[in-house]
Amino acid sequence: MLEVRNLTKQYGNQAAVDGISFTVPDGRVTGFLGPNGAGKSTTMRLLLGLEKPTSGTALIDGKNYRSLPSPLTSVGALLDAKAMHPGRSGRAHLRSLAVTHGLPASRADEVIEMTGLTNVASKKVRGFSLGMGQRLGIAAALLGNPQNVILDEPVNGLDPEGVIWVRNLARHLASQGTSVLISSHLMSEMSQTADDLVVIGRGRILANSSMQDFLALANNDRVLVRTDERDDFARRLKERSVAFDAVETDGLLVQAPTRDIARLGVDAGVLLHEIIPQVATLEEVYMNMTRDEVEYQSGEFAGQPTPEIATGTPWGTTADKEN
Amino acid sequence: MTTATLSAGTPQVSAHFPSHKLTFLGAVRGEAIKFRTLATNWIMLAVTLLIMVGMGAMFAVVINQMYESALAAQEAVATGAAPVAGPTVDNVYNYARGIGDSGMMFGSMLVASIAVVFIGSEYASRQINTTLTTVPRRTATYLAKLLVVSFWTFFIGFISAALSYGVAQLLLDSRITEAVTVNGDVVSNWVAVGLYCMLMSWMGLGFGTLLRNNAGGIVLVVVVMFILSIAMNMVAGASEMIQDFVPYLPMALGQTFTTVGVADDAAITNLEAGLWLSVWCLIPALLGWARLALTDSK
Repeated sequence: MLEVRNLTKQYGNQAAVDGISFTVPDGRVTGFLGPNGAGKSTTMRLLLGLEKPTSGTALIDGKNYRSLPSPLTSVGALLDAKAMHPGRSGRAHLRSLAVTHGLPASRADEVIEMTGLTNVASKKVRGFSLGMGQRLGIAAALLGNPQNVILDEPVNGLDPEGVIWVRNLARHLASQGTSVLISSHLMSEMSQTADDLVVIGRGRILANSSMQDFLALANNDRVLVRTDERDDFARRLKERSVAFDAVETDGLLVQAPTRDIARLGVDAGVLLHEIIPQVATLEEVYMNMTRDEVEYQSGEFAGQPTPEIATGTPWGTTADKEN
Repeated sequence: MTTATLSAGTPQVSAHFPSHKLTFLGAVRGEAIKFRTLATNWIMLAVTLLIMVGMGAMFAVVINQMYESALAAQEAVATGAAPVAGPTVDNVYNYARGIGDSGMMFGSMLVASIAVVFIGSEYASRQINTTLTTVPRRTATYLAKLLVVSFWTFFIGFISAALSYGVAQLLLDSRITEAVTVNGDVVSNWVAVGLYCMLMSWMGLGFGTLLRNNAGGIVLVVVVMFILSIAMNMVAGASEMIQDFVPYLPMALGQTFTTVGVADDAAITNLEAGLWLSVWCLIPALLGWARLALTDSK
């Protein structure tokens, strides 16, 4: 189990991590999300004793990382895909780690095979692609068959097979009772992998909940309606003060229960050929939550069209929503 | 919210490796594997050996010339001529005994560079994060690296000195080789060269860890070993204090430490030179340890 309590890391006047607390329980995959510069990697480095906290504690199974009698079998970590000497072979890299804990050399070969690197294990790391480096980093993390696993962006550079493998690995480790803390910017991947989520922004915890609870934070009462008589149906909605937005050429995103919308269609004699409840994705909830927390805000392209919502129609406006 | 509130418990260890623990010996073995699995280290060790043995061979030729001059001067004195300045025959014999240290100045720079690169490349490649995650006790990590690099640099220094001596036997005048045989002085010279290389590796590892940079570490070693000596010798005439200090500079101490035939009542004996040199090398080694142990690894 990983425990972070009131953890703060200050660089000069700037707090990279600002009094955060969370727990990564055994047998669960906890997703660690946040924009670039939010403090995810710093938190992981603090957990692994690579940096000293300004205040607070970061504990592995109740102990400070540096005082663990057997770090390699307590925590397996992937912080950086290429945190290894480029002039050394993958096998030699793993053996140099294994021998520190008296693990047999055959264990290095086992994790090499497990990560699909058997054919390239004797090659120098400098010739590895990002994906191969990532696999080697994961192999190093698994070397001691640890009770806790920390993976920072483990699917970066991996091919689809590798992405699925990491997902299955995380799930398998959790099923064996391992606590898994995993950070990623791939929301679709995280939504399939994580049981719990910790969202961080500008060094502070924005959310700490189960995936289910997190998704429930979203506004899920919107329904996509498609009809050939959109203008007519929009007028009916407006008469009843129901908020909506126009979508594409024949759709309306209506903020009302599905049954009520269907009833309105019947009453108005308007054929609704699609009525689809909209369930927010992890990405949507995350983007809404971290909109104001990003350190590096992207600009919009000139002439960039607004996605989905049609513009220039007399009824698809924000004012409608406010009715 | 599902955040569990669990109390700190006994660390759970892997079911597969319940009895495996991190040990200092393991850390040393890990560093040893790291050292010997890098081609760069072997290349640099080989270059060090070649340079030191090559310098020994060249010096053997010079010793032959010195021997001829010393014999001529000895015969001239025997026929009543005034003695001329220059090495005596006995001096030449001592040079031949100590021929193992001929390439030591260049060799020591190389071994210091090996030590700098041993740690500096870990920072450059970010391998240091993996190293410190595997062996989080910084002092143990540093000592393991120090032991490994000490072993290899002592080994290469000793072997280079012995090989230099061996190669020189093939080139030296037979009258010199008949007079000079392997004795305690000769072996002491080889050991001293090995120790000198080892101490230089401490300096290299220290500066490499302190600056966390290959180029910076090597430059600092060059400054302390060469630039400082040259600068101090240039201004030595200006002050008696500086004159007194020059023999205590690391390069001069290294020469005194390995020289064969230093009198027991000399201003600085072999042992004293070795001890003072150790101080010069321990300071950067301790600074490097402090940087590693007391600051973040970034």
